[in-house]
Amino acid sequence: MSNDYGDAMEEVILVKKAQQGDRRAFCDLYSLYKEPFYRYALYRLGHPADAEDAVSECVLQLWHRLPTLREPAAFRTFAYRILSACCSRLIRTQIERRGQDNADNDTLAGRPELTSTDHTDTRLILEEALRSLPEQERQIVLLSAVSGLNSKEIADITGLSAGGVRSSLSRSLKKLRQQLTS
Amino acid sequence: MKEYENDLQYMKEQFAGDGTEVPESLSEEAVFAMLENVPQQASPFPGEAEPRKAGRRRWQKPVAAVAACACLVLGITALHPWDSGDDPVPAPPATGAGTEAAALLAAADTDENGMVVFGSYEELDSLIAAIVPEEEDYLVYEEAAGDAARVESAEAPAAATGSTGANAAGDTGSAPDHSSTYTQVDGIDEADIVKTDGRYIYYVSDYDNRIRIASAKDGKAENIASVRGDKCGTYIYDLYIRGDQLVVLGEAQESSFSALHPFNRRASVVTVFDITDRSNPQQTGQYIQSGTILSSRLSGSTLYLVTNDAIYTYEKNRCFPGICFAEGDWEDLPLGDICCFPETATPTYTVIGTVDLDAASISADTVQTKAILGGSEEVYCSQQALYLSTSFYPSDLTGDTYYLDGEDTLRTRIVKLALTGDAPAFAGSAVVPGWLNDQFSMDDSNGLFKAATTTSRSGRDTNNLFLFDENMQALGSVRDFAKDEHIEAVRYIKDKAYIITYEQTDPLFIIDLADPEEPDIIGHVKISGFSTLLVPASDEYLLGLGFSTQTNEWGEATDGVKLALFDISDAAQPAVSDSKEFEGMESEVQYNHKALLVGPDGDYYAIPYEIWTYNVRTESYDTTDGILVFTAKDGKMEVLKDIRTEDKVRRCVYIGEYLYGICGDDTIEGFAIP
Repeated sequence: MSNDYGDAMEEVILVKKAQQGDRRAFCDLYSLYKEPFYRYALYRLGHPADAEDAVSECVLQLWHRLPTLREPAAFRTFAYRILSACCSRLIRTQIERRGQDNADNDTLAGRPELTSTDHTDTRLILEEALRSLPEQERQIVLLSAVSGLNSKEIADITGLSAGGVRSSLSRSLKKLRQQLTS
Repeated sequence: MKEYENDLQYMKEQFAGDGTEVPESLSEEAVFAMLENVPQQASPFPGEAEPRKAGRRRWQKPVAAVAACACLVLGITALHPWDSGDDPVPAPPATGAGTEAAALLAAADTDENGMVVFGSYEELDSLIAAIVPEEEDYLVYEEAAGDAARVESAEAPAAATGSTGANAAGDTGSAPDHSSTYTQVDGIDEADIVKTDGRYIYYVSDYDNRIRIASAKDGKAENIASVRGDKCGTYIYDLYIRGDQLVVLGEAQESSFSALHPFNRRASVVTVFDITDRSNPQQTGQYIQSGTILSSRLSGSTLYLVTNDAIYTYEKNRCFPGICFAEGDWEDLPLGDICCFPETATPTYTVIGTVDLDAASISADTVQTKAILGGSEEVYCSQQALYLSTSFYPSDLTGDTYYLDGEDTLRTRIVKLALTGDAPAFAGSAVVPGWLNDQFSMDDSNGLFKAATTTSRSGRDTNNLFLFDENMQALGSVRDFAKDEHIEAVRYIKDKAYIITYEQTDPLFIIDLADPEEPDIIGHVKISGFSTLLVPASDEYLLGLGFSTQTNEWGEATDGVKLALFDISDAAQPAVSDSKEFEGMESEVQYNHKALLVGPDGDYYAIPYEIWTYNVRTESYDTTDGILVFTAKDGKMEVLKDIRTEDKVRRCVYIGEYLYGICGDDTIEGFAIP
């Protein structure tokens, strides 16, 4: 995520080139988003293999649909809308994989067991903290703190109002920080 | 400054440092190979190699739906059409969600206030169907709602802790002088996590989801009773105290209230308790309205609850706002109580509930509820009226661009609900360019409604003040001041507006409103750092609380708490008469006015704080917690007391000569002041 006008312009140029079919430009564009894409998917899905699937799927859809993006400056929202949908579909698949018999109400209960080979300690701790939030709050935190979207962009993706996003974020971030520092 | 800026920065750092590495299979080279032979969808804008020219506001072709955000996910479930020789995903239909909604809104009736009204539930239902995003991901996989318990009826006794033997009704005689929540408007109370009535301190437990009641005397406080959160929703938000009434605001999540919300929505709960016996709160009524809490106000005996009720998933005839009570079933709001902002496509209702707390019972006879389609962002309430604001891009309906030839077209609609009748009634609305910083950006004293906004033109911020009469008709304005800055604090005092902007030069502006047709900037003074809250300390002085900043190689950044005292006795020549900076300090008062404690007669001010220092050895942060007590008299500020506490202080209150800090671990410490 860049705030600099120069970086924003560079991204717009890459988007336009990619829209014309320039694969190299698309990959340059992708390199700007690769890490937050993967991290976002990892925290939503909990499993590196699933996160890889989600990001691959997203990249394919992104490449295919990019010419339909009217305004290159809106690329970020466009991309995360697609990534979010890819993750959501995979979550449903994960739950179907595990059957409907979740004894506890944890929405993450359908996720694969986390093992220390899959995750760094910090990520386990963050995962744990994120579990204390309902799914939508978790999604909003990730879109903000991992993907760098502003409340208007998050509102576009989630269908909430920008004010609703901000109040959700305010509560969730405070809660997470308290948990992580106690 | 967004209230969660500090916490967001912290979380960003946590995520950035989590050791995640992108696997080789997702490297640029791997992606490059992955995309070989993958076709792209045909551009629906052939031949548009030129940038859009000025004046051309809409696409010429009716394929508007293509870029409509809702429609982008159409066909996502059509997986990989290219790997089996199938036809590429067909172009979405010409009339996508966005344009359909625009057409429905354009065809609908409007009332005298310009708000869209509906002739039938079907009409409203069709609009919802048109604007709820197509993707059905959010709640389909949420845990199946079990058989959740209905909220219990009135007699359920609250769990009591601590000494509960004797009837703790408090002493006879009047309570000692005590603080109240710092509010924007005198006489209009705002809910908070801590309240006091001079004998007891009532607070939301930070970790235990309950309200605790503590008796407080001579610097000592003792928890004597509590009310469980799950009696007030699922999650307690904040509270009000009125004499012997405790009013708790909470939110309910779907799984626990599914009997009330069979269709996956959030609800907010108002629970009223009789606390004549402080050790034994008795529930006397409960009212539930759909949506999550945006804000509330208490004016006299009337509680106003404003919620945002978001529709994530369209279900036919199940997407209307609704209410219920402790007994009785969920009811959709009558059509006559629902209207719609004419330009929004946000599938969220703003629901405004009005509860008469003096009524013998909380029921459909004593509660009025209205809803507006299009969520709200800020709430401002005066004795005369409640104002709701919502921001939008005119192009929202079609998911079109945010920019029109370099001009950000973000606007804010402000709706006025007059409170002077039996029930809140729409009394006009106005649209202003740009966005509001917070509730303090609005004011309606002296018969004039004022709104201060920041707009963005060609990527540069600029600021404005707009004046309206009681019917929300435009009067004068000040446009485009403080370029490249945005508003961080506003206060309206008598016939002047005081505005702080940031960044770079961060001045205080004084705008004279004596002539509403021609408001004018009459004075300004530069100061480093910026205030996010302006407090009238006296007729001559304005206290600013906010952030200190420093400039490093990345630009200007906040680095601590700053207190500033402005001499405003000569409005044409305001001056900074004193300032103090506390490096490394954070305080909730920097983004929440309710965290400020004003001592008796303004003798002192107190703010809770934390100082974060990075410990290289443990690779985490150490915190120092405390309360800063200071005076602001005759143009000078002095630290009266710097109190260190064991745990983070959430709020301070005073009772008589004692200041009490309510801490995050549910302890209360008392300190004699001075």
